[in-house]
This record gives sequence, structure tokens and C-alpha cells, in this order.
Amino acid sequence: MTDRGTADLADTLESIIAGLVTSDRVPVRQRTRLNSASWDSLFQLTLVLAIEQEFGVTLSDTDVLDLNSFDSALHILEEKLASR
Amino acid sequence: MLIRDAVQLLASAKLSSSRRVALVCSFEPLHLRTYLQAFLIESVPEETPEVVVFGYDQMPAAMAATASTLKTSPALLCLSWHDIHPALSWRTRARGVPELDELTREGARLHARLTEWIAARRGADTYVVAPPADFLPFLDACSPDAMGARTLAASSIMATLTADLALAGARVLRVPSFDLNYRDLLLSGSPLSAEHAERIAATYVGLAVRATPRKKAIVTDLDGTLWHGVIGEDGPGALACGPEGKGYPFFVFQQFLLKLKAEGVLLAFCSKNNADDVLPLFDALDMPLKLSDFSAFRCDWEPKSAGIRAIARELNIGDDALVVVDDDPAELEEIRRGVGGAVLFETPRDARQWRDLLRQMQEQCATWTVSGEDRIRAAAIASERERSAAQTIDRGTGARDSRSGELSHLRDLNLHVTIQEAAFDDPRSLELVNRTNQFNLTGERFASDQWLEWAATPGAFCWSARLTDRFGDFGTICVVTGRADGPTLRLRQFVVSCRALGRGVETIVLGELIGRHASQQMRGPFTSTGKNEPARTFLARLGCDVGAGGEWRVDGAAVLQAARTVLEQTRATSQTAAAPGLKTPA
Repeated sequence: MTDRGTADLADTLESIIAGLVTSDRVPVRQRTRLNSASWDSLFQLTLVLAIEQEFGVTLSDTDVLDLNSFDSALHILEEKLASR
Repeated sequence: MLIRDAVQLLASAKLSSSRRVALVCSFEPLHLRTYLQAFLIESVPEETPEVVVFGYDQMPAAMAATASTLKTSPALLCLSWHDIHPALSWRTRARGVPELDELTREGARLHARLTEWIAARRGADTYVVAPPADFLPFLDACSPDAMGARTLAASSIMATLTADLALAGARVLRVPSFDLNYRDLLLSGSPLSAEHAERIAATYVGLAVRATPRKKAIVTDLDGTLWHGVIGEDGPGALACGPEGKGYPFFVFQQFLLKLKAEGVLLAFCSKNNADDVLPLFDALDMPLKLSDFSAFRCDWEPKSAGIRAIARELNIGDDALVVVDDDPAELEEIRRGVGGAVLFETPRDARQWRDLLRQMQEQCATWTVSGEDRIRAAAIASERERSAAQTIDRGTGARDSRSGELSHLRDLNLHVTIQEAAFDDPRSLELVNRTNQFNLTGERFASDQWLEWAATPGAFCWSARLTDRFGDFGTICVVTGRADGPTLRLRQFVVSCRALGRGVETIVLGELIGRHASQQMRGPFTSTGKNEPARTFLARLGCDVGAGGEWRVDGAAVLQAARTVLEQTRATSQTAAAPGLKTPA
């Protein structure tokens, strides 16, 4: 994926996460399951569904369990889109 | 709806501080909660109920709360197979599979608990979703394409349970079967896919927040709608409406109309035909419907809109309470222009369209419960015909007399009014309040939770009255509810079924009410709805000029005198029946 493509993807992902959780002191791109109070297991499944609906991809169980931070979400999404 | 949009709706919504919906399920509701709240926000933006969730392991707490603090709130109960026995879940920690007698025993325990719960929530709206059969783990040794004894037993327990809950007043949702969401089940405990959760939420909100009132009557055309063929062209011998060939769809349609009739919907027909050609046919043709199944009909060459409006007047219902079916688009257009608010359907041309028509008509006439009152309405209309035939009441004269207050022409009818003092708990009371348009003080309608809250108000009373005469039983035709405030009775709503107007029942009931409470004064609101002229006329006769609306008041002595006059003129009798164990007026 090109840098431009990655930047656009990151913007979209940031917008999705910001839409799902409005009150969190940690900036979206720095959020992880460890530093963000809102990033619990239920949020994780909501984010999975939002990504699947937005991009038309299906995440595997391993993907879902690994979706622990903004960076990991971006990485998983890039891989999914690249393998289509 | 995308989950992202649903979450954003939740973030920006202001939820009601007083209205709640309890979501009860013994699994993680996950997206179901989100979609349920989102659809409620979309459908009830002004006063959105807050979804209160009882998930995992909270069934006992949910049962207790929804039968006490949340007793008046609607509840949505999503059942799981493991509510019967813990082994009926893929995610269970139970060892092995239960034997049949254990399944049956545990099923009976759940059945007893839930039927007791429904009884404790009497009057409150309770919705139930049963789990799809595909959510069951493999309980038997047979192939997944077959069903063994345990699978069948579990299905039978769930079917019997939900049927009994429906009989007890619960509203069981029809939701298509979706696949089990293994991933979310194992990761979070939610068995529902997003589509499944969205469907349950949408179905619940669609039913619970349904705005249009039930249609009361169906007016059907004859040629090409009730039977195949045209009587004037083909002759009666060529008409088809039996269970074969071209007549089969019409046979099914007639059977469907009979079913609606049994549920309290009135049937009528309006046909451009010679009455002498048509009327004898109903008994000559071998078809499901007989002439006596119709509460009213018009068979002439007048414009159909005029005939249908006349039918509505004869049935004492509004034009907007009608469903009309006709095979001629030009006639439907004429009816559309002349009959305001009626729902019109064109007769189908093929089997798929017939299926859609029956579904749409069922939707228009749907009700959760068929009361005895619904069933006797058609009989009461037939009795009304007898009254007219006996000229005991001339309708035109009766109407004039009711305006002047003179009712002595009713003296041979043996009118008898039975008053029920504790009528809050009778479902017919709320039904009548919400259905009555003409004799209605304010047009105010109550959701069931609002009704129960009002019933719990200190000093609140609700009386209903049943009317009989020598021709038959009108059923419960009057409800008055209000609050006793010292020497003053403050009415909030007062309705009388249009079937019973002009017989003085309203005056008799208010007289009994004043007498029972020894009140010196009665007050209440009046709001003109455009349909409730009879209520204004009644108040005017009591000496209250309410104009377009506002508060009225009348001395208790004046009401008592008016009631005595009505009783003397009509020779009616009245009787009060306080139901033991029910709420009595303060």
C-alpha cells in the first residue's frame, strides 16, 4: 500500500474510532487497550463490526484478539485490504 | 443501520428521565443494546425511553426489577436455550448432556418462573424473543440434519413456554432464524450477529411504537374481488370462489376475511350492482362468506365513495378506520378522493400479490389480544338493526332527542347499566379510552406504562360501564377516569362508545360517580379534536359552555338531577359492581 493510501486509511480509521468513543483523554492514534479506559472487550467487538461494515472485510478470530491498539487495527486492516 | 451511525445516535441523544425499556437476556446483548437504543431514538426522538439492560446472570434481578420498580416499563425478554438448562449452550461449563427427564423438569421450572413473572407484570407490555433452533448445540447422537429426542424436547419446551407467555399477554416477536455468531459468542458471550440484533431491535421498535390505530372494518367490492367473474355479465353460474381453479384465491380471501371477523373486525361490501341480483347469491353460492357475516352493505349505482361513507356512518366508525379492497383502479381513485383516511388496496392479479395483500391487511387489522368486546361488536350491530326494525329507536329521532335530552322513547328497551368501580386493571378500559373518538373529552391517548402510572396516582379512580337492553349486550361502552380532590371530582378522561350514544348512559354514570364520592363539584378538561362534537354537546346539556376547549365545571347536584331525569325517562336501571381484590377509588 502506498504512503498516501496508508495515510487515507489511518484518517478513516481515526474517524471511525472517534465516532465510536467521544470521551477519551488519549488521542485516537495513540490509543491502546492498556492506556485507554474506553478500549475494553466490548468496544473491541464494536470496532470490529464497524471496520467490517465500513470496508467490507471479515476479520478472523486472531485478528479480533490482536486488535488491541490503533496501530494494530491499522496494520490488520492494511493486510486485509492488500490480500483482497 | 451501520453500527457507527447507531453509536453516534446514542452519543447525541437526550434520553427521557422517566421512561425506560428493560432489555432482559441471559447473554451479552452487545450490538442488540446499541441497535435497540438507536432505533428508539429514531422513532421516539422527543421522549426516548432509556434501555436498561439485564444481561448475563442477571435473570433473577431482572425478574425482580421488571415486576417492581420497572413494572410499568415495557420489557423485551430475549430467551436463550440455556435458560432451560445450562447444557443447552455451546459455551457451557456443564458436563455432558442432560437426560430427557432432567430437561423436562428444568423446562417446567423455567415455565413456572416466567408465567409467574408475566402475571406480576399484569398490564405492562412484555415482548419475548425465542432463540432460533440453530443455536442449539448437538444434544443427540444423530446426524446434524436430523433431530433427536433431546433436541425435539428442548424445542417443545421452548414452544410451549412462549405459547403460554403469549396466552398470558406477552407479545412474542417473529424474527427470522439467523446463524449463530460463534465468533462473538466465544469472544464476548453474544450469540447474535449484527444483522440478527438489528432485526430484533427493529421488530420490537416497529411493534412497540406503532402509531397507526387498528382498522375497524373492511369494505370489499364483490365482482372480481370477493369472487372471480362479473355477475351482471357472466351470470351467477359462472362465478368462481371455491377451493379450486380460478376461484381459489377468492376462496382464500374469504376465509381470511372470516378469520378477521372472528377477531372483531367488521365486514361490509360496496358494489355497483342490482341488489336483487346480488343479495340472493350469498345463500345460493357455495362460498365461505354468508350475507349475515356482513355488518353493512351498499349495492346500488351511487358513487362508491358515498356508499362507503354511508357504511362508516352506519357502523358508527370514522372513515379513517376503514380498509377498502376493489379491483377497479378508477373506483379506487374516486374512493381515495371521497373517503378521507381509509386505506385502499387494489385486488391482486397473481398469487404473490394475494400473499402481499393478506399480509398488509393483517398488519392494518392487527391486535395483540382479541377481547370479548371485539367479538360481540358485530353481534351488537346486528342487534341495532333489530332495534331499528322494531322502530323502538328511530335513529334520526334518537339523535334529535339526545340533543334535547328527551329520552322517553327508550323506555321499552329495558336499558340496564352495570358499573365496574375498579376498572384500571381491565384491559378493555385502556382499549376503549384509546379507541374512542366521538364521545371523548380530550382525545388523550395513553401508552400502557402511562396508564399504569396514572393508575398509581393517589386518589385516581377508573370506572367502566356495561350496557344491555332487551335486544342484546353492548359490552363495556363507557370509561371515566379522574382523581378525587376533596369535594371535587377532577375528570381526566371520559369516553363513551359511539355504539351506545343517545341512551343516557353517560349521564347515569356521572350521577353514580357523584353519589359514590359524595362530591359537590365535578371539573374536567375539554379539547376539541374535530371528531368529539358529541362530548361537547353533552357538556353543553349539563350547562357547560366549553367553546373550542378549556376547563369546565358543574355542580354535583346538577349532575344528580340530570341522572335522575334520565333514569325516569328511560326507566333504565343501574347497578354497581366493585370487583373484590382490585383497586377501589380513594
